[in-house]
Amino acid sequence: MNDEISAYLSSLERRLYWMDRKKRKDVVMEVNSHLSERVSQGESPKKAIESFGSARSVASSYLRVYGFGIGFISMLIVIGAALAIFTVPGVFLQSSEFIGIDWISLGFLAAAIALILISSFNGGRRAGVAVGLSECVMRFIVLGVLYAQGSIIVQDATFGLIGFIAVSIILPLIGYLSSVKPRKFESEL
Amino acid sequence: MPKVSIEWVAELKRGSIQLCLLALLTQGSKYGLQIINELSEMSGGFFDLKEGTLYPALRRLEERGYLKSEWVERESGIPRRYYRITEKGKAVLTEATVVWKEMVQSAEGILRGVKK
Repeated sequence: MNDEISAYLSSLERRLYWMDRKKRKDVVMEVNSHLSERVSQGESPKKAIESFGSARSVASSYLRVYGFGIGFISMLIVIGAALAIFTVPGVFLQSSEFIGIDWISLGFLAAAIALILISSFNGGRRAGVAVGLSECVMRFIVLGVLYAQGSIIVQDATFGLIGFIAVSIILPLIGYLSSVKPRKFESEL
Repeated sequence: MPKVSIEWVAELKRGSIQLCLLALLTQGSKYGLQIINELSEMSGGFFDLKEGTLYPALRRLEERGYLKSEWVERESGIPRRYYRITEKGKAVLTEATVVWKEMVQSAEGILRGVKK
């Protein structure tokens, strides 16, 4: 294989790292097939690569089709679940010490939502919903643990509990809704 | 072609390219480069697609179940990936063609009316 084509394919494969491995290999093989055929018809490798498009834009188009692979989504789920632990008010503070808003948990909540949005925008609906759902479930698990230990603040506050449930349920919804965007053919047409 | 904004032309193409891809594949299985060449030739260069955008578009149609693809080994050279239209794709194409014809007729009616 020509060096330029080889370098281009390596660059493309790197940028598709988040995709499912089998699909990634398949995509690279197809691009290789296309470029090699162009070259065999007498085109220079440089010209063939140029007319195909930059590895970055091509990778981005494929990611919009396939989204993140299961492996990467699983990693995001774990990160999301870990973040969600600290989004529960009272994890850092004992109920007797708590006065007012738990800013630390709010900070983690913002980070957890940011992770959902990043997953959803870059990895598609499946990734966004999965991360949101993992965060939601983890929040309830932590709530249950804290409640059993008698240290959770929301146990005496109905409004707090309702707010907690509402926020938890909204998390997977954010993942779903943020990935709803107009399906369009590539803008580079 | 009149010099209108590139974005405007892209918008117009965007609405019809998937229909054209499905229609082209009713003629039989084709591989990417062949599709690019035939689309360009049949449209007099109007659908001169960027290669790096055609392949993801084909994959999108495949993900939706409108196309199927398979690798075909060749005696000389590396294998090619051939795309063919599915029954679901044919049904969608039939439906979309009816809408397309209505849309073109309606738009032409409006354009003629405006010209008068």
